[in-house]
Amino acid sequence: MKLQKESSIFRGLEKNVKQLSALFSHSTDLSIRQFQLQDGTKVALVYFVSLVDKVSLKEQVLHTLMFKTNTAAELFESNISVPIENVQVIKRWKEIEQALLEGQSLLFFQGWKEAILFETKGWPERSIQEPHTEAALFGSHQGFIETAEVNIALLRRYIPHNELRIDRCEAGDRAKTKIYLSYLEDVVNPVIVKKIKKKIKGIQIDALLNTGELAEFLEEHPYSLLPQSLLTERPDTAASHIYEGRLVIIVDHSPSVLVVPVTFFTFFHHVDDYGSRWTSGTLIRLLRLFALLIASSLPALYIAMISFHFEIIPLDLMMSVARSREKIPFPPFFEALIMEISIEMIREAGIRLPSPVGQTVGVVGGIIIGEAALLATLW
Amino acid sequence: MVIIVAITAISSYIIPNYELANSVRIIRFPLMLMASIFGMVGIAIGVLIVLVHLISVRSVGMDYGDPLIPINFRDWKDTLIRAPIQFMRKRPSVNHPLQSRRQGQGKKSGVTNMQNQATEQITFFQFILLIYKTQIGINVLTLPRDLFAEANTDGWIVVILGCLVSILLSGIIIQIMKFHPKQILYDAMPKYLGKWLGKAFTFLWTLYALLTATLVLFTTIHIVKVWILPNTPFYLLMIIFLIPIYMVTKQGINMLARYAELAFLIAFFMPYLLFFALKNVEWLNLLPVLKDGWEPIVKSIGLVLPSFYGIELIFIWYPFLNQKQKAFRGAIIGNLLTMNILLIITLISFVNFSPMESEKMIWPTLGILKLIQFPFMERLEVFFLSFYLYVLFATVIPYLFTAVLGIKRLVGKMDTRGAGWILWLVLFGWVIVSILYFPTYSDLFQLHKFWSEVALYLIIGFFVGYTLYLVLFHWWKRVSHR
Repeated sequence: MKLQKESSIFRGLEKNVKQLSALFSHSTDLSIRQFQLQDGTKVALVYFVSLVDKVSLKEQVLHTLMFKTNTAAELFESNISVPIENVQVIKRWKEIEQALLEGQSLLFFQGWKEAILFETKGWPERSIQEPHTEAALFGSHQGFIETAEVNIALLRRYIPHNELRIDRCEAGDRAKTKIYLSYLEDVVNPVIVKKIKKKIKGIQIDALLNTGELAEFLEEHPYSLLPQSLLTERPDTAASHIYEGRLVIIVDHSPSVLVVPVTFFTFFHHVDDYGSRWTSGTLIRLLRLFALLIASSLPALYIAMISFHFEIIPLDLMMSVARSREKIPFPPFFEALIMEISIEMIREAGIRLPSPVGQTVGVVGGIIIGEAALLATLW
Repeated sequence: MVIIVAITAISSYIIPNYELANSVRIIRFPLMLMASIFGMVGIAIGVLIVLVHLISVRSVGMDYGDPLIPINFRDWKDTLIRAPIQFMRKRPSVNHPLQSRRQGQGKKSGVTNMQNQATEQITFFQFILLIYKTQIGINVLTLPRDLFAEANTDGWIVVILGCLVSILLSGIIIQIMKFHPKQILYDAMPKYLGKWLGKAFTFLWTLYALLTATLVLFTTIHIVKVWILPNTPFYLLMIIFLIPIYMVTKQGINMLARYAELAFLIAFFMPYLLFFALKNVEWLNLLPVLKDGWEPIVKSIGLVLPSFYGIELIFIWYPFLNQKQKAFRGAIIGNLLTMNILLIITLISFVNFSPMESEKMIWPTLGILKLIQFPFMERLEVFFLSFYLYVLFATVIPYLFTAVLGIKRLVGKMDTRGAGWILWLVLFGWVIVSILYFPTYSDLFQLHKFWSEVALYLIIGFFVGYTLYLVLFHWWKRVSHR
């Protein structure tokens, strides 16, 4: 039976129950608990076992309904006196589907064309830890986690101000992912917010699993090598960007948030720069810039000097370089390429492997292979 | 090599952002390839391509290179350095925040006009740098010799006089542009001169701009070939040079201005490197002042003027300037900056070389560099020249842009974008020429001589004549109205 998602639920309980299990393709984790109120009205509590907080379901919802509620009418008249944060009356199948998938539980009644939603979300969650990739010496040691609500809470702790605005958007054709835009409304330029909202509306994708995917949709130059938005897992970094008039985009079930718009130099900043004295902060920033130059062009400079301009460097240095190179069978470019590629491979292997094995890779890759290659004068 | 790779690997971990570190890793490989084919020039061009891309990217409509380019000194205090927090009173202006003061809840400063960003406009500062960077080109490398030949060691006085003449000329050009502040010269000429005469002058200017761009580009490649890469084919150098030139020119006037800023930031220290050559110098070379009297000095003003050419392109830039009342001030500052560089170069080369040497040097400025040696680097000029390419391109690009706009007018297109088949045509033409023909030094020398004569007549003759014509035209209009 094909279902019109806009249509509302039926009066008969049995029909609704049948409809529900058909809607979710008879999933085994969809639980339909049927019982009777005090006056004998048949009801059914529907929820996904995997997505609800069982304690609050048992103690607040089931206990109240079974022992303290006499009739369905009483429940509706008393503004649903069940001791739980959020209750709603809903009718449409579309809303019901959405609510169940979010981890709410729904109560259906025999003879009523309305159902009641109880807020019983509760799923496995990671505790708040320091992010691995962005450790700080002086900054806070909290990091974002995979639940958007918690992340918003972390942000609000840094920005307790009435102008902090959180807007909700959605993206994903098949599974809707919640996206929250947070910004200081009296600071951020509205043009930026408008542009971002428009872009999020235009996203066409099955489901957004990752903030990085969202970044690709928002960027104006998706083919560019340069990242045009900043991913961070640190709430203090995100908050500082909000204070500077930027926009922080939180994607549900992703621990990193997106900061837009950014400049190239945003990537050289770190909370520790602000936490330490300004002199050392400055020094470190200049050092990073220098590191950028080295990291991008030092092998190239070496190749250029060896193959073209050996007269640039002083004679003594040149002699020692020449002596070290005399037995190497490759031209400088291939020598550098082989080394760079092998070092990148060792690095990539180190990231994915569990830490005990990772050490082995370090030892084997770095010491044994390196030593052997040196002995064989491959580089 | 092991040390090099190790240092590189460590450096890439110092960059605090993982994504950027990855980008840097990816950029490393093409740079290595460029270095293995073109040496230092390859690195300079590779880095330039990345930089040009960097300054053209926008993140949600905001400039990615800010505050370095477009130059925004106020925001530098939280960019390359981390100033004490009490100095950072304002939010970064790149995001155009509604409230720019950080502390407390202040007044709203109103929505800054972000629409202006997209339109084609250049700021006062960019205007100065455009003039300055277009003027500094190949002439800088040869000027001391030419001046010495005519005016002996009093050449530096000629530079000052030349600057005055150049300021005067730019004043005239700005006066002309004030008659039609919103239109570039190409669009305004038909209105005053009639369709055919206007087209003829457009054609003339286009030809001149194309000639200048070609001359500078070919001389650049010639110098690179002679000084750094004697074995690399001419056309290969042409092709890699054209990549960044294309990337800038196709994006129009905004990008031109940004490129001038980029060239300024990268090259501003370069003339001061020459001070290292002040070791065993003969200051007495400069004495006596005015040894041949004023006559040779006045005569050789014509020699120094080509170093100030670039001012004529104000006829393209002026309509895009956002503070037009300051245009003349900008032209003066630009000319003075150029004069500063020329003075440094002429003086240092006069005190460094004996009169005999000065006459024989083909590229005296590079000759000075050859004298400088550091404990870690000999032959500084290889390094210098590779990165001096950025400055030379800053001369080629505005002339190329002017030529492209001119051709567009001739075929009946009225837009001010650089991109399109015309740009491709010009670039393609250059590549073909460079494959078929390799200019020798004497060819370039002849061409240069021809060019400076043409330029002298065209710039002085046209602008003075055109000003007189415009004044008469407006006077006649007023009279006939009555």
